[in-house]
Amino acid sequence: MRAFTLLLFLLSAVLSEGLFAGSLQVTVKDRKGEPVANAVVSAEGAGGGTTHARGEVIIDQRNKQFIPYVTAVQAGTSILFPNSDKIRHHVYSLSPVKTFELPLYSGIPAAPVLFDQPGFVTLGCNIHDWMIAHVAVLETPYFQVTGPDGQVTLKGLPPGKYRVQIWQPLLKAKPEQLAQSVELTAGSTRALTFTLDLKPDFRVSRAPGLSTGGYP
Amino acid sequence: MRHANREHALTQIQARLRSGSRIFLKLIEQRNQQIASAAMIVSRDHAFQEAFAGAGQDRLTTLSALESLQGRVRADVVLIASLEGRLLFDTHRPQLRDLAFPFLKLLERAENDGAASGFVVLDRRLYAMAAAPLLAPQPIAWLCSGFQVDDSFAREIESYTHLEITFLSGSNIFGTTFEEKERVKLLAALSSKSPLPRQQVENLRVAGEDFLTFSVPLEVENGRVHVLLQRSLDRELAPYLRLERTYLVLALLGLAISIGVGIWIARGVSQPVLELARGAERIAEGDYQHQVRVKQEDEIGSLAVSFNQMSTGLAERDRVRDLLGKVVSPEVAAELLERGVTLGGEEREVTVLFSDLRNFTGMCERVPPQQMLAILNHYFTRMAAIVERHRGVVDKYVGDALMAVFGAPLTNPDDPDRALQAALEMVAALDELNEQWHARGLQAVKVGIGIHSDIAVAGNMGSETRLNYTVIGDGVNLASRLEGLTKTPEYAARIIVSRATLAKARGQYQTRRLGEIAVRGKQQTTEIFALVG
Repeated sequence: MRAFTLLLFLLSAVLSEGLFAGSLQVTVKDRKGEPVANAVVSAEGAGGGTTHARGEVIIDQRNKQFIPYVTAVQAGTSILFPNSDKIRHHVYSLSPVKTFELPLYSGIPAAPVLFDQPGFVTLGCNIHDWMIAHVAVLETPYFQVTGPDGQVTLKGLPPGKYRVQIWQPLLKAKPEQLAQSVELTAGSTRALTFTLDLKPDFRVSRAPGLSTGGYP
Repeated sequence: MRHANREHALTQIQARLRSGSRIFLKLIEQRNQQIASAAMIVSRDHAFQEAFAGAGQDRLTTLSALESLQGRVRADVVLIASLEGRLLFDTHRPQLRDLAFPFLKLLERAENDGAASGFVVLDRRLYAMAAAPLLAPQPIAWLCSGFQVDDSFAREIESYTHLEITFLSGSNIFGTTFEEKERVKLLAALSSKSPLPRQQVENLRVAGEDFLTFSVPLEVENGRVHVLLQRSLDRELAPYLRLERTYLVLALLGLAISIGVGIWIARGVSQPVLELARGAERIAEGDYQHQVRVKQEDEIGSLAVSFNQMSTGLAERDRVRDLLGKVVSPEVAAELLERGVTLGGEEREVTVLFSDLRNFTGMCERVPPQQMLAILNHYFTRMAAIVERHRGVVDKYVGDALMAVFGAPLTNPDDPDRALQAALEMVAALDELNEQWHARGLQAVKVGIGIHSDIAVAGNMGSETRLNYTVIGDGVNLASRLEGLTKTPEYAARIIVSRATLAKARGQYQTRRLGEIAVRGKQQTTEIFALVG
């Protein structure tokens, strides 16, 4: 009897995951119609969310770059910053959401860095002006970062109302201003499109010998 | 020359001002780039970033760090502006916070170009200000470093352009190369010419000095600032003036030398030459006594000496001639000098006059010999004067007798008339003399004159070393005989003339026929007459 109840419970759980969860298809474009990469799409629902299942979150330093450029984590996640380069790096962030620094080091740091406050963090390398990475710390477990195709699919969303927000490093407006609301029913898939006004990308260039960026 | 120099200087200055303004603009552009670069570097100061934006940030620490950064780039002021355009920190006025940032355009440019610089007016001072983002690693604020434009900056520019520079807005001078006391005058000069035309060279008179001025507007975000580039005309002209002065000195020197040489020549040459010319003039006038006063050792001097010798020689010859004239008679002397002294003569038609005094010795009986000579000379002087006046020649004096010749050495057609008139005058003169002598208690004397015209030989008679110019011939003897005949009481004639003379005479004369006489060598007799008037 107990085994059967367990089986039923598991089945319903599985079924509810598969059959009763909705999904969201979000496309992010810019004003020219080009897909926008590195956009963080997040859906905030009324219902309590489960914890976003993530493995170890890693932001690597390889070839004098942070990889990936934009990372999204749920608040309370720790991120490891291994240095895969043969040279040392000095990782730091002065963002109020998370201020930290990993003074010049090589290899793998002793401990990862905990991001417990929601918000947006920009981090860089102190000795390499062009090295920048962004971390979006979110409360909701439902989020994903767009790739070069500018598209994400958020799956397993329980039915209900959701506020879908978007953030991108070059975003001119504040994320709240672009939020869209959507209602998901069981098993349904909704598609959303965001058209963003982006600032020109003035990241410091990596010309060998000269790091002048847009300076005369 | 002065005008040409001035024109040239003006052109030079104008060119200089224009090129100077280009250099100036280039210099400040380069400098602004430098300070922008410096701002960029300093804004990447991680330690400062941490102090400014990291955990536990406080104002005092941030301000102190800013002061340190300011010193690092040798700026005069450092400002921090928020991304929203609020002034957060000002190293000059630490107590200020959260004002509107006054130079938003600068920040705009910095946003577009990564860093920017430009001129701003802050607290009544002019700054070259650079703005760079505080990157941590993305822009979190703006860091602005300001470098004051003051007198030392102006002087630095001057050292490159060699122009007077003034940064000013209205009557507020931010920095200038002019001295303190000149600034007021500069402002006064400007106000009288305000507004200064752009892109054009104007002449400003400051403190009595002419300055060619070029006004360049300076791009300033929050003000109207002009830069005056000036060059003193006087200073530009200075080398020309020196040249002019040198020329003047040389010219004056040359003039002085010329005058000196002129005077020297005058003294050495012209004057003596003039003196010699004057001397020649005097000689031409007949003054052989004049001696030229030239005392120099050169050629002119020796010329003068020769001249004086010539003068002396001429004077000597003149004396000799005079003497000769006195001894023979001027005409005979001239004849002798001209023809030379040769014995011999030529036949001439002459009228001979003999005069003799009667009772002269008796008159001078109780008279000392010297006085007698004096009286005789006095008589002869009168008679000779009469003869010479009638173009006759006194041939000789024999005692108290006188022989005169009319017709030698020079012949005249009216020689007979002359002789006759002379004789009449001589008689009249004697009457006068008799009166004088009578007044002196002397006895009267009588004169007898004989005149005859004939062909005679006139020439030098005697020996080669001692000769007389005289006339000889029968006619001469006859004249003498006629004179002797005046003693004849029956004739009662003082002047006896021959028929030949009367026949040849042209004038009318009162005569009285006396008779005929026999003439030696001639068969015919000659009529003789007494000349009465």
